[in-house]
Amino acid sequence: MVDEMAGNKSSAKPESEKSQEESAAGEQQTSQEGAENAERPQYAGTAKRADYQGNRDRVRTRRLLWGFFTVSVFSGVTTMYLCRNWDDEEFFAHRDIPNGYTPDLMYKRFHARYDGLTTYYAGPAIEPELPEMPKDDNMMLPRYTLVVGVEDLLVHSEWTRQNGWRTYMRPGWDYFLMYLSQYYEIVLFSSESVNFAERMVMKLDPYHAYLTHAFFRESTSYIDGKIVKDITNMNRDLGKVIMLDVNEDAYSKQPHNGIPVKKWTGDKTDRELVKLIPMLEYIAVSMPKDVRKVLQTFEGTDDYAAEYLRREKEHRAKIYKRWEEQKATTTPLKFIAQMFGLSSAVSDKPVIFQDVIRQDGIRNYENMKKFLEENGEKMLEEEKQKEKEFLASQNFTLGTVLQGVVDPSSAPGAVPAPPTQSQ
Amino acid sequence: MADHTRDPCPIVIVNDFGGAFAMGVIGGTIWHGIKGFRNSPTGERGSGALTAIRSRAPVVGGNFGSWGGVFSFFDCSIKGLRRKEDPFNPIMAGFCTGGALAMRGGFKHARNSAITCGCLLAVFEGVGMVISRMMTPAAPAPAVRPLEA
Repeated sequence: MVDEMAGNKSSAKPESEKSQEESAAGEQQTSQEGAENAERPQYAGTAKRADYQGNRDRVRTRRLLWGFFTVSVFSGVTTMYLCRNWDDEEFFAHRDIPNGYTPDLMYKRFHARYDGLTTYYAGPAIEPELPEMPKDDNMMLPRYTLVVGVEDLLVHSEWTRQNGWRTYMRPGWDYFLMYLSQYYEIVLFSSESVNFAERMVMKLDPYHAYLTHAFFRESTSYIDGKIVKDITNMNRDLGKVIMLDVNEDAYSKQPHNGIPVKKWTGDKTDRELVKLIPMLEYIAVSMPKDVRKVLQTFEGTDDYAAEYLRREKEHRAKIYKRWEEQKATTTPLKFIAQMFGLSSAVSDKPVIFQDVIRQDGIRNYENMKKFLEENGEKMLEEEKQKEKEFLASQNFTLGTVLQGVVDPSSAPGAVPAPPTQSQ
Repeated sequence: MADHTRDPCPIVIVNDFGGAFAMGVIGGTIWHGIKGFRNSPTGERGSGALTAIRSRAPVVGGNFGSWGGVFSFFDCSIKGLRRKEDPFNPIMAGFCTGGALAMRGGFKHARNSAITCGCLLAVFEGVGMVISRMMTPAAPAPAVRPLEA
């Protein structure tokens, strides 16, 4: 069948089939080619040469050349512009690179300016800057600052098909914040944008009782694809700032200030926050000159809080052991004291430093909690009242418009929050 | 934790497809309504517009929808692969979408379309970033009141 067809009308067949035939009937190859040209004489000599250029081709080439020319001129001019000597303001910002037109200096200026284009957008839009720490003569105010991450540290958001997004609060978050607010100036640093995370901050501290400030995504830097919470310009002595975060990228600029915290993914039995309290409490009360020195002793352990508890337990065991030894030995003085019926000086288990401060801390916490329970409602009422007054005091028309359209009670203090529930 | 105005990844593809389809249908209705109206002879303008809408608007919707769905699909895949969230995700997704949708036109067409879409998305992202930066207030009202003694 194949042989028969190949002999008869091979020229009308497409290339692919023809090659099959060639392998099948190799001896016929030469005669086939001859037959092809002979059958279609009208096309002889009309094939375009490979380097033939039609008008369209010529126009296209010309356009391409012009485009190339324009782009190279443009980029050349831009490069030269970026290489130019410093302007007045730039000169002071880049003292390390002098003016002058040597290739080396030109390249350095180009590099600095080019980087400046991107770092402007990668840097914080709002500098995370705290106001001056209030002056305190009685040593009553906290002297240390605690920068706490929000996402997966204090709250966790989950999406389900039935409920959509829901945000849950980590077990013990209220105890953690309220208890530590007596030792620290607590600053929240969220990695989400202000529009979204501000509502969560409002939920975390409706009374404005224990959080002093909150920073958001706008205050973070974007370095090598990572969100970094750079606290260099926070207006605080870095020896007195501790950062808590679930992501170590967050404190990669100040690695010795950070305490890694385990991510919370919604587990109701999680106790990480409460576990952290003894350590932070001890650090704040023992008032080290530089917390970085203290935290450095924990580096290498994956759980700082557990390591601290281990140390405290060890210390306690040592004290108790000494006490046992003292009890066992009877000194003459003790013997006389017992004879006169005086209670022994070492009859009770000794209290260590940590026990004392914990007692104080818990008492303060309970006082504060009681105060908020009694006055919290009143404080919220007052705030709403203040907002109403503020809106009413706005004389220009927008104020009146807002008053009519927006219910003042739903203004900033009580923005409709995402469905939040504590567990 | 992510943007709570959007659903998380696999399901967002369906959302995006639906949203883009709706957008296309609405836009197509306006576009082809006017076109059908103008191109019909007097007296049959209303019915001409209706016919044009009925026959053409769903096509526009489908085109938009397929673009949105495929884009979202690539966006999710790239997010999953890179485990990163930055402006390069949508740019790469746009590149892939442009290429995938123009594949039937051959390699050359697909390549050109992919590059065009990638550039377009890059411009969108860049402009979005600049605008969001400009919109950020210089000093926002403190979210929480300063500490009181």
